[in-house]
Amino acid sequence: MKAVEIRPDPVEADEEETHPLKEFLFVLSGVVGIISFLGSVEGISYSGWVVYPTTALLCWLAWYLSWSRRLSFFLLAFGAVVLGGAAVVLWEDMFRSQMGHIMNCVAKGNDEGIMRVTETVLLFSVLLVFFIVLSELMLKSHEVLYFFTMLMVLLSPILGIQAGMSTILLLLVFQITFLVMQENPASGIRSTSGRSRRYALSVKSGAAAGGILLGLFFLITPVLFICSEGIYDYIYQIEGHIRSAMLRYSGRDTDPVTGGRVHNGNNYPTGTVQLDLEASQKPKEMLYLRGFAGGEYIGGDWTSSDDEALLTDIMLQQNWQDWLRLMETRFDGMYYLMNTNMQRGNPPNEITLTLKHYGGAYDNIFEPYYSQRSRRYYREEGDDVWYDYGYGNTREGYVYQYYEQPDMKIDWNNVAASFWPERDWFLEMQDAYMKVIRTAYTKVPTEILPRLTELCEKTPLTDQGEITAFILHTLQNNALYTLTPGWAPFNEDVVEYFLFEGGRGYCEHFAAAATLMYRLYGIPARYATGYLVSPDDFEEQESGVWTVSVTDQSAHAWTEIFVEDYGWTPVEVTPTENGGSRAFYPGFDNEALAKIWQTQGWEHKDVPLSEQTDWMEGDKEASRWGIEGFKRIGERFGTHEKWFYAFMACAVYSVCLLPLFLDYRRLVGLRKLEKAGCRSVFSRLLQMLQFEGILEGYDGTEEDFGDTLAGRVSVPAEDIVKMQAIVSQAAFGTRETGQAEEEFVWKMYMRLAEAVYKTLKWNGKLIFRYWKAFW
Amino acid sequence: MKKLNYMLLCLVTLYLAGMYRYLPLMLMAVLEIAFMAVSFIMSHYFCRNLSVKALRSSDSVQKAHPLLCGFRVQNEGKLPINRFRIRLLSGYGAKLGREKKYVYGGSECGEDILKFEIVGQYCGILHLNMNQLQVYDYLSLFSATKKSEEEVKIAVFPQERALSIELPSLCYQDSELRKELRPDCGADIHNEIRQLREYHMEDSRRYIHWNQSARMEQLVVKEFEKEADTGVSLGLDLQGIWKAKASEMDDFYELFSALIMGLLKKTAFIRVYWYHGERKCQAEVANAGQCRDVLFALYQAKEEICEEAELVCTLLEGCFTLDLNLGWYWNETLIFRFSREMLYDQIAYKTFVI
Repeated sequence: MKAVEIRPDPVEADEEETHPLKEFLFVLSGVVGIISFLGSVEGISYSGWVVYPTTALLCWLAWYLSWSRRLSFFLLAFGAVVLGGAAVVLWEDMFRSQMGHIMNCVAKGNDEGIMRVTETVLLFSVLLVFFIVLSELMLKSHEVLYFFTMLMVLLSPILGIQAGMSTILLLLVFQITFLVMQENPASGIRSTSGRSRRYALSVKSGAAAGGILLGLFFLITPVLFICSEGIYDYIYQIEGHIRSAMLRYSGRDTDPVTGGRVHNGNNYPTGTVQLDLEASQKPKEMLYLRGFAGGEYIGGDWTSSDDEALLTDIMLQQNWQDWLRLMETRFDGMYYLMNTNMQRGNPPNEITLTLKHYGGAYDNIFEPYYSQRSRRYYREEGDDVWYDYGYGNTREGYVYQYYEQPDMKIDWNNVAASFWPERDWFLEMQDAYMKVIRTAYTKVPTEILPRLTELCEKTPLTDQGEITAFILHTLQNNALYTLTPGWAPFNEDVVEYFLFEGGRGYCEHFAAAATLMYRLYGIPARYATGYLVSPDDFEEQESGVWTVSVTDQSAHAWTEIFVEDYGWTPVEVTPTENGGSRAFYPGFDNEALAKIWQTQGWEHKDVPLSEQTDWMEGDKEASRWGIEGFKRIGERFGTHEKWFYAFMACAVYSVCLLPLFLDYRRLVGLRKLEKAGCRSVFSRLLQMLQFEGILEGYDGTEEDFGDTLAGRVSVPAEDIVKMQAIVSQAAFGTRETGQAEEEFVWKMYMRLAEAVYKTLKWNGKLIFRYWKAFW
Repeated sequence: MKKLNYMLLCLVTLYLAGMYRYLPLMLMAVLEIAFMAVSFIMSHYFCRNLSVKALRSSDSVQKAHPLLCGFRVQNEGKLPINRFRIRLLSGYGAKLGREKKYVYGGSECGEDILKFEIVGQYCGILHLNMNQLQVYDYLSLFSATKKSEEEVKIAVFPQERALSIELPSLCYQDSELRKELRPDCGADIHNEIRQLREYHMEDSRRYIHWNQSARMEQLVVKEFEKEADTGVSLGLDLQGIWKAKASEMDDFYELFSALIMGLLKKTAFIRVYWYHGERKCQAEVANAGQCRDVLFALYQAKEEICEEAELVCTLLEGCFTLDLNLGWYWNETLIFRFSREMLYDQIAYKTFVI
């Protein structure tokens, strides 16, 4: 047996709860928040003027009945469910089609256009109202709805649902207010002053929390619009550190880039060396090292190109079956060989490049364009015998000989007679290859890229230069380069999202989008990944060779198109540091680009320099705070421009009205104080004196109170003592104070306040009069 | 745990908002974080503005009966306080052994009363010491604490029971008890019979009026008048009171109360003696109120007497004595030793004839 038991007061514990109107508003915020969230789903529309008033009315009715006539509430809820069920049965087809559309829009994104679903939303809101009232007000259980609304909000970006700020705010208010209301002691005694007052208090606390939340909303929203980029950057930095650490810890940071996946997410280079290059001379051009060439696009992923199959087809068509094996090896270095043998008398400048994989994994080989892989020979020290290591080994890497694009000058007529048979074969081979790639590398899954397909269909073009110019125009006007574009919703194609919604991406997104656009125009194109090395990164060694350590910061993706007499040629569609283009290939240069843009009237929008635009600079980025943030406010608001201006107008209006409000508050406060009686007036006087540091420690009962105060302010001590006596009489005396005495105390208060006010500086006066409202 | 969950939720929201560049969700995350920060400040603001004082510093109640206690809660802030917790150390005697109890409450702006019931299961002085006030923010994520030294003393008195005592020796002129009580009355004292009544099972056979019973053919017993100036003395042996547990003292107080009430049915008053250290204390008890006064004095003695203050042995000559081991003596002769396990039954059903 416990020596002492403590339990709630049984009388008050049985009191009935009261139900302030605030309760209804909390419920309404939840209902409206959820319905408005539903309206944010793309492809869904409903008549707000029908749904919202009906819901509000029903919400009020349900709230009222929930505490006044519980039986009626249940009857109404039951009736609503029965009527809803009957409606579903009667108009089954309509509800089925609307529900199907809603489910489709939520799960897969909108690909069927906009549908009005007023009836279904109305039905849903009826059920929602009863469920919320039942759960929150009658069962006092907030967990289910909190979990549901939180899940809804957290899943919305993943599902590509862009709910507005007001929706999110309503849901947050709903969550927080009910969390506060249901914040009951978990253990011990649940005791205050009875159920009734306890519940009223929890509702008041919920309202206070809701008020604080609204206040924070108005404070934070403008700041967030300015600083959102900075916050995003912090999040990305943290994620980048974590991901880099994980890569380093797992040892995968040295693995060279592989595959043709267009990543949905941010790119965080670790700066780890992945390749060591050794060149016989310093390159003059950017060096593209291709490790992957894409065949078919399957929703965010490229399959590897299958040139071997294409060559087999060609061999079969040309009846060269007997030469198949030889041709396969010859085809790889065809343009290198052609270039070598066709420039007689003026041999082209050949570069020998040795590639070593830093991590020792040689699953994927990186080759420069216009190249041929060399066999490696190795001689032990002091040994005269050379050993053939073939095309490469894990210890010494592998070697390519290649020409830079300006050194590719193929002239079919300027070739030695001994090379004529091979030249003819190459020529036939090129023609045959160009035919087959028109089918093989122009495939696009249009069903998952409806918007991109529509865009290309709306701008019919045939000239390759014009197509390239249009692609560059589209990319540079619709997207910004950044390594941290964020994630795309899981139910949207990453390229479509990049180009039409997100508007941010890095080389993989630019290259994938450009490749698909080329293909949509019928130009064979491939998505390529590998490394892009700048000539400036090469350093000369004592032995005369030029070396460079290539890190994952040089990993890159680009588009390659087939150019006659050059073969596959890289087209750089990722914008440069200043937002410009480097998409040059034989027959297409900057001048041609500008001319086409001018002719077609495609205005080029400058990409802001503050964005991360240089894929060579890693995470170097200009500040996004301050002025840049302000500049972006307009952009950020976009469709919410009206709201933004309304908000700003309200803010300015509030600031202008603040003095009036403070003065009004002061006058109301003083009027209340005058009516409150001499004790309250005297108490306020003491507060005033203590706030101003006069008579600290005095409580007004001291004998020397009057004299001391008179010494500090210019008011006679006798009057103060008289006031003190009246207040003392009111507090402890047996008779009530008269009207004249009350007036005397009030006048004394005003005199003293005025006297104190006069002793203050200007800022003190403002605080004294308008903030503390003493006088 | 709640704080951790909330933080985790904020982080997940913030992360998703960042990854999907979803500004409304970012706003939600930032609002949640800001609300958390405000909550921390609010808990301190509430704590600073909240004061809790006991409505009464002392009270009394009968054992096992609830007593309505209250704290005056003053919230000087501008916002209502949804939740606070008062830590009470409750118990009898030394602070060390007191049990922690928590009372939760809330307060609107201004003054409020926090009421609760307290039930003392032992007799003695029940201390209710409010030593900590913990004030929570609206979501109960944070709390701020304030030390307090408010104390409420509740005197818990025994339930009104009376021992069934018969004092037939008062009727015999040569009895020691009679001599003790009425040394001046000599041998010619006449005990006045107030009435004759039907015999009950619990009545002593000594009082059966055999003649009348024979006439009426049913057993009748004599009931005597209580003499106005007749009293007995009761000495209390409080040896070892300093080390007695609350439950042991409870038995003693119960027995003492029942004994006094039982004796008061037969005599006009009881003189109670006990030693507080070397000081002899005495009180004359003629009714239940005075009995409570003596009990309260004993409660205080229990609190004040420490180990060093060893008591004088108080087995007095010519009076009843009651010791802490529930032994009831006449002079030095043990009348009965009550059992702790059977105490209430013995008080209720046993009749003592002396």
